[in-house]
This record gives sequence, C-alpha cells and structure tokens, in this order.
Amino acid sequence: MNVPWLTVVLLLPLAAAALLQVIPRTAVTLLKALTVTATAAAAAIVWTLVATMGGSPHSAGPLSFHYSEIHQWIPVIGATYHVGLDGISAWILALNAGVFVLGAILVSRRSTDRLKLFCGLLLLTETMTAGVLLSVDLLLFYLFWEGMLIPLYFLLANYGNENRGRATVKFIVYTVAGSLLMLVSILSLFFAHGVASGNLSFDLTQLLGGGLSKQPLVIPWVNITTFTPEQWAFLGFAAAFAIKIPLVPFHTWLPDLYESAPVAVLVFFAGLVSKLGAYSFIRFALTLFPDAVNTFKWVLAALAVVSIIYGALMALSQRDIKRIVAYSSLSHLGFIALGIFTLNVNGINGAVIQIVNHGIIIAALFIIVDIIEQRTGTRDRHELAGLERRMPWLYAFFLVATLAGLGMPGMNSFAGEFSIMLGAFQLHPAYAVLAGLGVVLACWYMLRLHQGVMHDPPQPRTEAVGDIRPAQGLVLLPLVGLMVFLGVFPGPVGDVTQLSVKQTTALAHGYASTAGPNFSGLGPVSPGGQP
Amino acid sequence: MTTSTVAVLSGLILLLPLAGALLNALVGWRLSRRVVNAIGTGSILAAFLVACVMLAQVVGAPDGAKSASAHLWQWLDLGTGGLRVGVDVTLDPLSAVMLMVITGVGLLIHVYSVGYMEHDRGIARFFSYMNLFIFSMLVLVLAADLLILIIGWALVALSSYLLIGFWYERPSAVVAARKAFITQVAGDVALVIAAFLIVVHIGTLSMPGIFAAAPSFASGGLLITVVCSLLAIGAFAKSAQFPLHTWLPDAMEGPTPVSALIHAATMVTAGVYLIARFHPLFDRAPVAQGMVACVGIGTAVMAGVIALSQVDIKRVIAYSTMSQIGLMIFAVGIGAYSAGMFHLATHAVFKALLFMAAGNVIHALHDEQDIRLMGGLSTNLRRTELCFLSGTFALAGIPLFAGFFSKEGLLGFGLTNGPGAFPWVLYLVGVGINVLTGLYAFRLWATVFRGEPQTARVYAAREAPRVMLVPVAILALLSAFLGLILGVWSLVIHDNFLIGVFARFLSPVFTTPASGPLAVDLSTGTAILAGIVGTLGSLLGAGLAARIWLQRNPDPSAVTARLPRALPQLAYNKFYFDEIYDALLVRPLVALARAARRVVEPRFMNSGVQTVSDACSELGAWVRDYQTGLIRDYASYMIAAAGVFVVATLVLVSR
Repeated sequence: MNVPWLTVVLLLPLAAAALLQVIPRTAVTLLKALTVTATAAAAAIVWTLVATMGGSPHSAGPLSFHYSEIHQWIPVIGATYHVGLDGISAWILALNAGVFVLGAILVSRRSTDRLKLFCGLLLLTETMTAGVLLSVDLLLFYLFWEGMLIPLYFLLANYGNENRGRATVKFIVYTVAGSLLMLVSILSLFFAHGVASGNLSFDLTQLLGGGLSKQPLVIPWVNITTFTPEQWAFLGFAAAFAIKIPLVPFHTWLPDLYESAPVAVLVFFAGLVSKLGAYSFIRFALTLFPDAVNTFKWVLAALAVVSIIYGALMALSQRDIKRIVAYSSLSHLGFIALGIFTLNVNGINGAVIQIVNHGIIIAALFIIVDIIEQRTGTRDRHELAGLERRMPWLYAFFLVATLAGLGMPGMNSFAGEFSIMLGAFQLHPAYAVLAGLGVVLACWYMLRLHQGVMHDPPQPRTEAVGDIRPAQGLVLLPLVGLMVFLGVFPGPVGDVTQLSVKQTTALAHGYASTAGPNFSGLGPVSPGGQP
Repeated sequence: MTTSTVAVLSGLILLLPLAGALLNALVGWRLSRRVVNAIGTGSILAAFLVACVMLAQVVGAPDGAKSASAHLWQWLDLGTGGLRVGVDVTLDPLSAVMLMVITGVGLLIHVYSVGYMEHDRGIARFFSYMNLFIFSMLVLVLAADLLILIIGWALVALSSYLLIGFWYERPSAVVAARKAFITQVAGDVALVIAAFLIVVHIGTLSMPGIFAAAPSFASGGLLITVVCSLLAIGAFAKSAQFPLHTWLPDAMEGPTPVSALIHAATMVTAGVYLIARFHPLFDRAPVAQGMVACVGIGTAVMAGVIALSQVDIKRVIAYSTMSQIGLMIFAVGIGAYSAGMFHLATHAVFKALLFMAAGNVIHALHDEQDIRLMGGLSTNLRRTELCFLSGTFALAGIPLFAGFFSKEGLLGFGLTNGPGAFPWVLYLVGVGINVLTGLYAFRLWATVFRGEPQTARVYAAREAPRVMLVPVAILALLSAFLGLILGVWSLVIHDNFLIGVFARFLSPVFTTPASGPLAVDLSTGTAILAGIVGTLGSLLGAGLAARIWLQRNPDPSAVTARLPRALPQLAYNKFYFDEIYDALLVRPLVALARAARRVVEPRFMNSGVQTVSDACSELGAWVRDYQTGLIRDYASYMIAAAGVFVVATLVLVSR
C-alpha cells in the first residue's frame, strides 16, 4: 500500500486543529483528549517510520532520502511540494513528535485559560515544525520556517508570566530579521540557478552546488572587494540559523523568552524549535554553499566555542534556576553548533545525536524546574535547599537529568558530546580543549544547581513540600529512561544518521557524489577545505 | 578460556552489583533493613564468587592464552572515517587481580557496613550507591575499549560523589562531594583528549588495537609524550596525586566504610591501574614516565609530612593513602608495573583494614575523630587494636608483614632499574619515605590506643559488634600473612622469594623487558642491600615513633613542634593548596561569570537588540494612534500625502 506517510504526518495535527474548532470550549476533557490523541497518533506514525526505515536510502542522487514525496506546487516558478525524510531528519522528527505529545500531556494536566486556543496553536506549531524538518524545496521550507512563528507568537504572547510581551516581541523581531536575510539568499540562489541552467527550481536537490558566482563582489566606485555572491548568500542563511540556534552574540532573546514561557510551551520550544536552526544548517547551508562553509567554518566554530563557554559562565552566575537551565541550553546548543561546523563525519553525527539527546534533557529539566516552582513558590536558588528528604523521587529524576545535562559518560549526551569534541579535535585541537573547559564548567553549575536545591538543611519554603505525584513521575520516567538507554545504546541513532551524514559531509566538501571522498582513517586533516 | 566464557562471566559479574543497586534504589525503601542488607551484600558476595571463577579461569589457562576478550555489543558506529566503539571486555591476569581486590575487599567492607550503618535511615540508598560503585569499578577494569574505560572511570567518580555527599544535610559533605567530582571531571577531560589523540593517530579506541599499534608512535616523540602525560593527568586526578590531590582529605566527609572502599582500597588506585594497563604506551614515553615517577614520589613525601601533622584520625589515614599511592605511581612510573600492582593489592588490604578499625574507634566514641581526645583505647577495644596494629605494621613495612614485601620490592626495583642517573636519589627519597611512614603509622597507633585516656568518653567505649569485627579480623590476618604466603609459595614453585609469584602471574601482561619478573633483579647483591637499608629505614621510623609517642600523655604534634614554625603550619594547612586553587581558578571564574552577567550581557549583547525590538513596539504603538477608524482622518492623510507627492514631483522635474 502506498500511503504518503510524510503528508499524513504533516496534515494530521493540522486536521486535529481544525477539528478542535467545532468542539465547544467548555468541553475541556474532549479538547484535551483530542489534542493528546492527535499528537500521540502522529508520534506513533513517525516512530514507526523511523524504526522501519532501515539503512540505505531509497532515492538516488547526491542527497538521497529514505521516504520522499514530490508534487507540482507552483509550476510557473518551479516550486514543488517536495518532502523527504533521511537519516538526519529522522531522529529529529521523532523528537519533534515526542515533545509535542509531552506538551499536550502537560497542558492537559494543568487548568489553562483559553485551553482551546492553546491546543489549536500547539497542533499548528507541530505541523509547521514537521514541515521545516521534511521540506526539501526551499520555498516550501521558507513557508514553514516563517509560518512556524505565527502560532508560536500567539502561544508566547498569550501564555506565560508577566514579562512575556517584551520577550516575545524581541524574539519575533530578531527571528524575522534573520529570516528576511535568508529569503534574499534563497531568491538569489533561485535566480542564479535559473540563469545558469535555464530551468526554474527551488528544489534543494536541483540547487546543490549553487550556481552563484564565486568571484569576489567589488563595490563600484569605492573599489572595495567584498565576499563572493555565494558567501553573501551563505551569510544570509547563517544569520537566520545563528539567531535561531542561537549562537552568541545572537542569543539574547533566549533567556528572557525561556524565563517567561510556560512549561507546556517550553518542552517543545526549547526541546525542538531551537534545534531547527541547527538542523537547517546541516540540511541547507552545508549542502548549498560548500565553498563558503569551508571559508567561514573557523569563525563559526569559534563562535560556537564562545557560546559554550559564555553560556556556561552565565549559567554559573544566575540565581533563578529557570535561567540557569536556559543558559545551560545556550551552552549545549553551542556544542551542537560546534559539531556542525567541524564539517566532518564525527562532528555532524555527534551534532544530530546531540540534538535528539538535548531535546530530551532540556524538556526534563524544564519540567523539573516547573515542579519545584509549583511546590515551593520560588525559583531562587538561595531560597531552595534540602528537597531530597521531602522529594526522593524527584531527587532521583533530577539527578539523572543533571548528570545527563553535564555530559556524564554513560548518559546519552556523552555519545553526542564525545563525537562532537572528536570532530572538533580533528578540525583543530584547540576547539576541543576549549569545549572541554565548557564540560568542566557545566559540571560545576549543574551540580551546584542540583545540590543547592536538593541538599543542605531545608529552608522555610522547602520545609513542608510533598513528593511528585505518580502522574508527574510517569511523564518524567520515559525521558529519564531514554537518557540512560541512549547512553548505553547510542548505536541505533548512529546507524540511522551515519549514511545521510556521509552524503552531507561529502557535499560540504564539494564532492557531489554518493561515493564521496575517501576518508582514510581519522586523520586530522579533513579532505578539502583545510588551508 | 573461550570468548563466550569471558562474555558470560563478565556479563554476570557486571550485572550482579548493578541489579543490587537498582533493586535497593527502586524498592529498597519498602523493604525491611534485613532484606536491604541481604541484597546489598549478597550481590557483592555473588560477584566475588564469579571473580574467583574468573581468576581460576586465568590461572588454569595455558601459557600464552592468559588473555581473552569478548564483544558484548556495538556502542556506536559512525561508518567510514567515523568513530567506532564496541562494548568489549578483557579478562587477563591484570584485570583478574583487580577483580579480586575489588570484589574481595569490597565484600568485606559491605559486610562491615551492615554494622556501621545500623542506625542510619538511608541504608537502602547507601547500599545502592555502594553496589553502583562496585559495578562502575568493574566496568573500569574489564573495559577493553578506551571509551568504555572512560565511562567506568566517570561512573566511579559519580558513585564516589554520591557517597561522599551521602549525609546530604551536612553542608561540608555537599561541598566536598562537588569538589571531588569536579576534580575528577577535569581528569576525565584529560583522558578524553588523550583518547582523541590516540584515535586520530591510530584510528581505533579498542585497547588491544591501541597496544598493538603502539610501535607506530615514535618512541620518545612529542605525540606519545603528550598522550601519556594526559593519561597521567587523568590518573593523578583519580589517585589524588599532586597537584590534583586536594579533594581526597575532604572526601573523608563520607561514611567510614566509603573511605575504606573508595578512598583507600579501590577507586584511588585506579590511576595506578590505568598507567599499568597502558604500559605499552608509557614504555615509549620516557619523559612522561619520569614525570609520573617524580610526581608519585613527590606526592609520597608531601602527603607523608602532612599526615604527621594532622589530628583527625581519618585524615591521617587519608594522607597516608595518598602517600602510599604516590609510591605506587612512582613504581609504575619507573616501569615496575608488577611491583606497583603488588603494592596496590597489599595496600588495599591493610588500608581498608586501617580505615575499618578506625571506624570501630569512631563508632565506639560516638563520632569523635580527633586523636587528641583519644588515647588508652587498648583496654576497651583490645581486638580492634590488635587488628589496627597488624595494619600499622604492614603500612610501616615491618618485615614479614604484607606491606614489607611490596614496598621493599618496588624500592629495590627503583634502585636497580630506575630511570637515568637518578636511581640513587630516588631510592634515598624512598628510604626517607619509609622513615616517614614508620613515624606517622606508629604515631597514630600510639596516640589512639596507648597512653592514658584523654577524655572520659574513652572509658565508656565498647568493642564493636561481631559483624564489624570479623571483616576487620580477616583483613588483619591477610595483612599479616599475605606477603608471607605468596613469598613461601613462590619459594616452593619458583625457588624465588619476595614477589616472584605475583610478578610471574602478571608477566603475560607486562611483557616488555623493563617490566618482566622482578625476581631476577632482586636476587642480586645490590637489591638485597637495598632491601636491608630500606627495612632499616622503616624500623628507624617505627622506633622513633615509639620513643616519641609511647608515653602516658603523648603529644601528637611532638615532631612538628620541633621544626621551624612555618613548616608544620604549611603542612597542617595542606600547603594552602585549597587557597591557591581558590585564588587562581575559582575566584577569577566566578568574577568572570559575574562580569558577564552584570556588564557584558546587558551592555554589549542585549542593548542593541533590545533597543531595536522596543523601537518596533513603539513604532507599532505610534502608528496605531493614527488608525482611528474615522473617515475624515484617513481623508486628511490622503490629501497630505498627495500634497507631498505633488510637491516632490514638481521639485524633481524642475531640476
């Protein structure tokens, strides 16, 4: 049977959102049930697809997909509905499906104002983010990329604490600015390709290798030589993705937004949306602009290392435990970005693995912080202490999440961070050594957070709290279980990602064939690009 | 010894403590204390039996087939040019020795804990952490892939962290736990970077692969020196060697059985194991070896001096541990791998014994640890004293006790096979350490058990219950006779006294000439002379200690008081290492973090963005004011705009 599963994955949450509109807003149970069922059904489909996708891709070409669907969309400009799932997007899509189930469950356990609106927006966001992960056509991708902001805006602006308005505007303005630069780059690619080949297309598989001039652009009259058009176009993409990831110094929307957002939004916002920048970097920026990527990788990797250390230092100096987690997220996203900019097999595989791992970890950490805030009424590190005796189960869950967060060997994030750091080491040992400093700092602030909240004699606010309810435990259990399981068996993730990463790496080095360059051994010099 | 046997036995020995840890962690709070104790100790007993079977497998294997590896599952495989790591285990004489030490001493300490932790309500948590520790340690010694070894290495640090901070409502314990863990993580990072260098150069992290490819490193070259130095830094962090040693004394905040198991017998000696395990690399890096040897002997001296000035019973033993591990590190640094491992084994026995006997004292005095408030305990704690004395003799290296054979062995090897032009110097320092060891070992015994009681509490002290005495007594017998038994055994089968049998057992692992059986060297005249001089040093120390402290009211600071004041001050304050680190590392980082939060983030990172975003909001608010919905307003805007347009056109055209 030939079911267009990818389209089903895209449309299912959208259809559920539409169905929600005919349910009266007073039928709270039905609203919740529908939202949870829809996200769970989408998750079931995605997880089955990922589990059965096997090793080698089904389509041919330098960038091939395990599942793909292609239809005409706007023939006059060559825009297509081209969606595809490969080893890189597979696990991230699985994460996507998972975090939305989590969000749906969390919102259904809390009495929320305007629940119907929330559920509808949540489902709409899921369609958009899945679209970002599945799009192969650049115009389609851009549509989803920007479309994602609409439900997110309403979610962030309507729910959360009193600072949400300012934080949301900052996020939207910042992101849209980056996205517009990307639109310019997409259009210039489109026209350059159209002029060079005589056929119009937004399809990534058609645009590979660019077609943009690699001659430096000279500003007339003043005679200043600037970057090449390819590099300018790359920088447009890079700006959009660097803001979304975010990389220091483009990160300032993140802590404010994370602090003000409600946990049901955070699980998918911090867990997934912020990783879309990293994913898109791998999917589009590396494959479309190999030369520019190789030129700029040193700077970008340096920015990533700065993000790691800067995020860690900021986390170290916060009192608000939610902001500590937010800045820890910045630091860890720096690791993911570092992995991408290494442009080698280890780094990029590590980045993909770490996207999945970090999504799990950060969702759990925000849920835990939320529980603590609910129980004690404070997020101030100095007012929290001694919860271990009162909340032994939360202590255990928090301990595992903390250890995973600090990159403990044996936990899931170690597999990702080790591969990333190995990749960075192959790029240049200094990057790995500096990232190692980030690991030590992570250990410091994460342990201080965990110990500060859990240990020492109790404070007035923590005297009389009770442990988590079984239902809360059931939400945390799968997350914590995955942290341990993927730490012991990271193999399945790597098996799926590695073939597609090989193709992308080959493209990033300018070899447009599946055979790819011969990576003999793990020599420190990666083929191509290294000066 | 087939691959499948190794796989099954390793799987079993790893799963048993893990199952115990999980059981006690998940359902321990519902079970009775008796069941919790049974799970906690039973899992280790079973693991010990498996370890015995594994040892028998190695002993029974024919020569040349003493080592076997098994592949359990593929951890990660990133394809061509990518990382490839298997969860592999190796059983060979070296890991067999470690298995016996870990599960054997571990079992006795678990039994002892049943008594020691009798009144603690967190017993399930305690045994869960202890079992987790044994599991981690087993991962560490069985691992046949460097990455898996790193996982075990870090898990060991984790369980140590959990156990140091076991009494989590004590702020000092919480801080000590964190300090220990962060130091360990710094060591982990060094190991990880060493792993990167190795995998980039050789292309594999599998340890048999690394050792086979060791000759591809240029001997004495920069690369191998850096790799070995990084490995050594990892080892120093774990084994509390200078300059990464400051966490160990603070780790005494944990319950005493923890100190015995983790901070004396097993975990802190993992650094010695690491260097011994990676000897094919170290053999090719003489500079790194020299560094290791010097750090080892330097730490031994420094810790010995500090031990002499401390007045907390556990801290004295902690520093003596640091000092003894310094000797082991020295041994593996000069290539005396078998001797180092032998000292590791005997030290595990007598140091665990000392800690547990000290635990009996602390228990009897209701958590008193200050030796100035003890004295005269021999009347009430006769049996404990006897055991403690056996440990003290072994520690001081009094002839025929276990420590004598191992310590003289490694010092003698140092004299005959030591590096370059310095064997004499290093050897003489070693003899000095012998004197020092005798001094602080007997000082502790004399001030705690001899003389007159210094407080009334001593009179009320009661001997420990049987469950705490029997494990101590077993270790006391071992520390008295282990060396003798092994010595006589080697005399019988190899007609060589001293450490022949042990070295021969390990010889398949340490095949390089420099590290072969020691008996050859020890039968020479120089070696015998070295042994005699070393022994005289130990006896001198012991005799001096007896003279100074065997009296009615011994003064623990008798020796240090005679030195110039600065020195004891320095020693008592641990040479101010904590303060130095605080000033050099902690404070600058905290200041940097604060500057980032107060200045960099608001002024440089956020101000521009925030301004733009606020401007957008304000622009929107401003424009909103003109959206009145009144036709007359919109009409006037249109007329005004049209007017501007006309004027602009006229101006442009007229130019």
